[in-house]
Amino acid sequence: MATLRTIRLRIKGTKNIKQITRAMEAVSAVKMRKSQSVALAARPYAISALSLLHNLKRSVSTANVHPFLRTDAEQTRKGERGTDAEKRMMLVVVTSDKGLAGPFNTNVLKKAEQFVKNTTTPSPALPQSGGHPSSTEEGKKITLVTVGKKAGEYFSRRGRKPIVALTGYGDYGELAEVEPLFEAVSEAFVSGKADEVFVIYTNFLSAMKQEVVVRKLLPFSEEGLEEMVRGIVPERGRFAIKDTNIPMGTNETNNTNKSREYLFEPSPKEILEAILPALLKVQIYHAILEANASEHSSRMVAMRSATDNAGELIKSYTVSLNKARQAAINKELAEITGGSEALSA
Amino acid sequence: MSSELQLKIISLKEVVYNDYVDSVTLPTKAGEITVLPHHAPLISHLAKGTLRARRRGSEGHPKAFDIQGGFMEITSNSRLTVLLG
Repeated sequence: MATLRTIRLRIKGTKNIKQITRAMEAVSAVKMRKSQSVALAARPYAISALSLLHNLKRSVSTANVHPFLRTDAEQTRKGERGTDAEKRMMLVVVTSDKGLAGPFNTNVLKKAEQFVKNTTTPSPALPQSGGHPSSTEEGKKITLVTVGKKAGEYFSRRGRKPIVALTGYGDYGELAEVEPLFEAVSEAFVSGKADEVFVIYTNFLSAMKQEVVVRKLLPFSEEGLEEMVRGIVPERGRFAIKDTNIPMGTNETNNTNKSREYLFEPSPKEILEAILPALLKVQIYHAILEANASEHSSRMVAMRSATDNAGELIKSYTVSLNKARQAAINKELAEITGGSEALSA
Repeated sequence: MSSELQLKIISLKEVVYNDYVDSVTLPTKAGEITVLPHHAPLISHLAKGTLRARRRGSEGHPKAFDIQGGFMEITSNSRLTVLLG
C-alpha cells in the first residue's frame, strides 16, 4: 500500500501537470483566435484575385499560355504517358512542428498514407506483408514535400524520404515565408518532375471541428481556388459568416456590359504570368494558415481534456490519501487502546 | 455615385482603403497611369511606386500609398480594385 508521503507527492506532481496543461490550453486558445483572424483577413484578397483571374480567363485564351494551366490532356499528348497510373504526383503534407496536439498530426498522416496507397497502383501479386514498402518503385510515382517536423520524421522513418522537408511554419507567418515551399512546388511542376501537385492539410471548421482535406494545387483550376476561398470561413464561432455566397466575378460581370472587353496592360500573357504564381502562393499560404488554426484548436482541446483528467486524478488520489490517513489513525488508536489494556490488565 | 470611382486597396492582411475618389494615379509596369471615373475596363500589373488617390474637397487628400507592386482591375462600373502583392 502506498504510503501517505508517496500519495502526497503524486498529488503535488499531478497538480503541477494540471497547471501546465491549463496554461497551454489558454495559450492555444489565444493563438487559435489569432491565426483564424489572419486567415480571414486574407479572404478579401483571395476573392478579388479570383474574380480578376476569372475576367482574365474570359478575355484571353489561356491554353498554353502558362505552364501552371497545362491540362491533363495536353500533358499526356506531350509526354506520351498514357494512363493515370503513370502520372507522377507530388504531395505536400502539412503538419505541425510540435506535438501534444491531440489527433491533429495523426489524422493528416493517416490521410496522406491513404492517399499514397490509393494513387500508387498496388500490385496485387505482391504480398503486402512484412511492412516492407517497395519504396524504390513507388517513389518514382509519388514525391513528397513535408511541412512541419512531424510529417518529415514520419515519412523519413518509413523509408519514404521527402524531397523537401520544411519546418518552422509555426505561427501566423508572412506571405514571404511560404516562398521555399512555393519554389519547390512550382519548380517540380514546371520542370515536369510532377504532373500533379496535391496538398493535404487540415481545414479549420470550428474550434471543435477540423477536417483533413486533399486539394489539387496544380495544374491550376478555378474551381479549386473557389473551393479554397469558400473554405476560409469557419462554420461556427466568432468569425463565422452566415452568408456564404461569395460575390464572384462571374455573377457580377455577367449582368453588366458583356461586350465590353478588358484592356490589358502590358499584355494578357504577362499579367497571367505574374498573377498565377501570386495566386498559387496565396493558396499555399492559406493552406498553412488553416493548418495553424487547426493545430492550435486541436491542441487547445487536447489540453483541456488533459486538464480535466488531471483534476479527476487528483480527486481519486485525494480519496486514497484520506483513506490511508484514516487507516493510519485507526491503527494508531488500536495500538494505544491495546497498549493501555495490556497495562491495566 | 456614378461620377465617382470606387477605390478598394486590398492586401493579404487587410482592406487598406475602401472609399469613393475622383481620380487615382498608379504606377503600372508600362508606366504611370491616372484613372478617372468611367475608365474602360482594364487589368494591369503594378510596379513599385506610389499610388495617389484624389478627391476634391476632402481632408487628407491626395492620399498617397507606397506600394511594392501588385495587380489592379477596373470594372465597367467604375470600380477600381488594387491587389497589393
